[in-house]
Amino acid sequence: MTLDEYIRGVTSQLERRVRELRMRIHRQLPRDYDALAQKCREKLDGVLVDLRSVRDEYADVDSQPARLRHLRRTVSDLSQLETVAVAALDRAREDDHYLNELLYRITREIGYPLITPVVTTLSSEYFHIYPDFNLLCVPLSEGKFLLHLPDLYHELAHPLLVVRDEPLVESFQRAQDACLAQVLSYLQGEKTKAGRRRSPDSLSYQIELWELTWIRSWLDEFMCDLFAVYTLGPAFAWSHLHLSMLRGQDPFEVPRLQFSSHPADDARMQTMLVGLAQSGFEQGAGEIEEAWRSFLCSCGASAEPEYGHCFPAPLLATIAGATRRGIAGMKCRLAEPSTSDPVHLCLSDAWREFRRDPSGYPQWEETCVRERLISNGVGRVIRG
Amino acid sequence: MSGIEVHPGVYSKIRAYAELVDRVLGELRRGHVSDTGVQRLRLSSLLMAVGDGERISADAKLLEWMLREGGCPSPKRLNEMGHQLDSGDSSPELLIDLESLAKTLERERASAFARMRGR
Repeated sequence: MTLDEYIRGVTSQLERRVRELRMRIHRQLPRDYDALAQKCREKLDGVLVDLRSVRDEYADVDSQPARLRHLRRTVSDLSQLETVAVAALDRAREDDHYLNELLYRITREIGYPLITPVVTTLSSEYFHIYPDFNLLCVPLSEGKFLLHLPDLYHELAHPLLVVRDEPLVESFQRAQDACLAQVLSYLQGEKTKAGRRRSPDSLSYQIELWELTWIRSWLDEFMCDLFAVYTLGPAFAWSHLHLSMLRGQDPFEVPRLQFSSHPADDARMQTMLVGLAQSGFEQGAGEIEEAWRSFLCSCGASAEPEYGHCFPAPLLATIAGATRRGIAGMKCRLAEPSTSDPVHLCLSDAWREFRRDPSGYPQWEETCVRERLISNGVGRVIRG
Repeated sequence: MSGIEVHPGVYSKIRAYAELVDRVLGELRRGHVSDTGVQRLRLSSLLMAVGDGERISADAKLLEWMLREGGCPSPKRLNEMGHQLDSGDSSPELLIDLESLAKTLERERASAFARMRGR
């Protein structure tokens, strides 16, 4: 079998897979899923175009490596559609519908400027979002619990940073650009200082690694955290502490040889505390800070000298201020101590109750979710 | 790119770079540049920003780092390739280096695809 024969055979078979996936996009789903269903159809059409291109448009010998690369990219696209987006549509059920309704209510409360993402309970790894699909993944039973739900607000911010040519989010993206310039300027200064001191090459490498890591993901993560803090308030910072307690590693981690996708947990918390103080939640910020210190003591964590260079407090404060202005520019509702939107209150109440009576909380939560959310529909929460 | 998790948004960027290079390579090989030359302009602008301290952008930094870890071509050569594309060059040397860039990017894309995750 020649490469050409192989590719002709495999592209025909993949075309059949595309047709099979199209059949899996059910028509009976609630309207919340319409945008995702349409996106899947368009992307499946794109896969068909690519498969035909791979089959027909690479005649000469020199182009065969490019042909194989094109095929592999297309197979990855199809795989992502099958395992993520179409799977979310195919497996959507009551738990998903409920979370979609809840997320819709959240986006209305905070004046979210884009189309509400679709939620699926098919996540295999905590919360994450696929901006290309506008699809937010959470663990299977997450809708039955409240303490991690503040992370929905964090995930909502990711699409705001990547969507193109959308005037409604310009102010947020301008804040991102301004913050990036500040980060690069600061790190350039650190590089210059290291050069003057004739520091070892390993330090220069480390600063360059920080630079790329800030560019690649840290700035986005800080801004998404801050979006959650500014639109939800202390409940998000409590949920960060919760996540750090249960799943965190070194809260002062500084990358030395490898990228890390997320900034150190302590740097994230310090930034959140700045955001809370700016929002009038000084008292809540104080309580969280105390709990955070206690957590750091119990896990015996301490910062290495380079930690302060990697996450300087003034830079974090600058990012917090710029992000707040960016969110205000999108005309989102900024949370204050007096905010009384129903979902906001429900998630804030959950954290208040958990701290008031930790051992009694599971019963309280079960009743709250059943009576205020699931049994009576999320609309009941909205009416309070 | 070594390291652990990759956010889906970063994967999309890497995938877009890989596709862009292959598209331009295909156009140059066929001797056919699309009417507006949009793909070629996008790639030349991206590559010219690599290795240029004055013009460096977040996208160019990401690309530079990926290629530094992934091997060839060097940032200096990428910058030259950007200028060659900008001037309409399609020499065999340029095609060879674009092919090398495309291979490296495909390796990075496949690696990133396997490591996507979220918060």
